[in-house]
Amino acid sequence: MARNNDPPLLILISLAAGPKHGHALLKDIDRFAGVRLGPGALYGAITRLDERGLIEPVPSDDRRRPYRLTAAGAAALAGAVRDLTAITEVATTRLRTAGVTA
Amino acid sequence: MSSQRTTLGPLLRWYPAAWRERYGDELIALLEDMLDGKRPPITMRLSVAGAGVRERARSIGLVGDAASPSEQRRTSALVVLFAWTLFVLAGCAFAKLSEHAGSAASASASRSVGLAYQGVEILALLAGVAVVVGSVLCVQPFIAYLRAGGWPVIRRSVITAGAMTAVSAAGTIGLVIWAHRLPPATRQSGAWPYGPAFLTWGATVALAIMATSRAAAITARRLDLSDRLLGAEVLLSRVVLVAMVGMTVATIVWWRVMAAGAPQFLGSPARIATVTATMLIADLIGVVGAARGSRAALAPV
Repeated sequence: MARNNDPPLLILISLAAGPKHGHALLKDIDRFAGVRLGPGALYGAITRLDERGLIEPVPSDDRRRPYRLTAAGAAALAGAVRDLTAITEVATTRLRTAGVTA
Repeated sequence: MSSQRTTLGPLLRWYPAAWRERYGDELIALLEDMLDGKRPPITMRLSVAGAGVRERARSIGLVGDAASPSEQRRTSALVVLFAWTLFVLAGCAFAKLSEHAGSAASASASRSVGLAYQGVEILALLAGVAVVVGSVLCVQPFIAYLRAGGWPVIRRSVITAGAMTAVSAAGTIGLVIWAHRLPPATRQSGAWPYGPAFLTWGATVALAIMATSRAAAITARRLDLSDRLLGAEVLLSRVVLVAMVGMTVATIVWWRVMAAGAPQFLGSPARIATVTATMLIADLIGVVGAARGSRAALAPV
């Protein structure tokens, strides 16, 4: 089965651990989710998140501009985690009923 | 590092200018980090190019909700205009291939062939009128745009379109004069030098049509159009689309009747398939554009 590879969600999760620039984001996402995002997909997602105010650039003189989670981004991530947890609990319960341990 | 930046810089061309201004340097820095001095592999190039095209489509309101409903409606009408341009090219080819068909068809097929062809002509006239009306409606905003100093922005595309049109018009006059001095058999055989000259002329006309359509789209993107005017443009684009679909159906009927009654007239099936496929692709593009307009119309302004 394919892993969860929703780039905006993965970026929010990665930035929850602190500000990161593009390359650091790619490496972190690969490490915790096993998903290798392409540069185009990463910056497409960064653009969407930035436009919606869920992340923001950290002032920097470096061209490798880091991003951090905003308060709205943290709230959005918390909501997504709640939704995923609810789904996971349903799946776990159903598997248990079927006699399978998740 | 600077040489790599020179290599990677052209990849940003896929993105709209405003996006490049905001994120371009960061993306180049990321690519440099990922490549570590190596040349970008094709997968990376495709990833960046695909994302750039998507970003362009978003910026003009073709996909996503980033553009305003008004911008999406404008894009809808322009996509149908692009589809119409493609359809006109296929229509020109059909007009050439169907020359003298009436005399080649059998008496029983002649009426059906005539009806189908008349259908194409009436619908082409309807679509042409809709395009002209759509253009006329934009004259006032166009003049206002020029007065506001917009000419330098559109100058290049308008001059290119004008030059291409002048070249194709001159070529048409020259070709017509030449053709009238040739016997019909020589004209229709495609032999040297008339055949290649005719193909060159056809390509010139096609390029002129495309350049004109491009200039119109570049200009229309920049005009200040009221919601009412945009609504009228979207409505006219629907008329064009309906006419295109109708012409495609009439053309297919025409092919079928001719294939049954005068198969020797049609010649290579590849030509028929190419023209029909081009018309169908144009219809499909038009439907996609119209659907975008419908979605925008439902969105709150």
